[in-house]
Amino acid sequence: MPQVKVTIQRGAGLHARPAAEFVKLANRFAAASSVRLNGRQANAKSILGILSLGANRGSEVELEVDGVDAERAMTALRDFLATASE
Amino acid sequence: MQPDELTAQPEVAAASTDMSVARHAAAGLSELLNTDTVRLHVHASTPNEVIDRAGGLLFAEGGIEKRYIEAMKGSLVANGPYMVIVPGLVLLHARPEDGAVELCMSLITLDPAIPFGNPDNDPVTIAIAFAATDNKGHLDALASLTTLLGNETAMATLRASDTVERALAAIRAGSGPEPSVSGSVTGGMRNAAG
Repeated sequence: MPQVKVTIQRGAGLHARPAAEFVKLANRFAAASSVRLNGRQANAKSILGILSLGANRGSEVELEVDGVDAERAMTALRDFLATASE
Repeated sequence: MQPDELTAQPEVAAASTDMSVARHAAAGLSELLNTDTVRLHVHASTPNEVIDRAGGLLFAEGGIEKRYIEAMKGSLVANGPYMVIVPGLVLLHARPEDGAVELCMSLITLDPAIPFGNPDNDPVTIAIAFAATDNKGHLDALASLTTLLGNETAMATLRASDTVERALAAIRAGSGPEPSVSGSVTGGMRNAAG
């Protein structure tokens, strides 16, 4: 099960708009995906799960992806988090 | 936060001092939402009026300063439709430093439903406003809500409630302690594989 550590650079972190966009992105893929921070794990396809992680800019999270399109999902999700918003 | 504590088996955690944590998190929603902080069939014409009504309940409880209500309106302008996080439900809050006095939460059901500008999740029939004095309280409140909002049965019952007592019963039923104890946040409208 591919796992990758990412330091969040997007916006102020996984709140409000970035969280909604991240979840939308995760839902585009068949693969299951999760984000882990400080021992807590949230389903990346669930806005509530992501919001209650409280991941801020600078937080290092662990992305875990599993499924048919896992590689593409992993790349997309990792790049989303690692890239400062335009 | 020790990962070991958070991933402990529920029964072990319940037996240990983590019980106080579980009770705090579980009692969270059921204590915060009561006959003073829940109102049904509220009539409002605009999103700002919704904030006035939901925020007014927090202010009456002494949970926030008046300026927190304005801060929630500002947050709506900044984040807008993204606060309608799941179909029909808007989450209203500002930052601790915007005038939060203590951890508090209110819930109002809206009649008629009000559009907030989210094409996927409009119109809004339930508005939940909350405030916390620190980041941890803020996240705990969100985690408690996650449990309730992910419980489709409880949410359906809540929406259909015609008395505050029935609404509170639905909230109690939907706010189980387990996810907080295990530390795994897998809530969401679709609870499938978790």
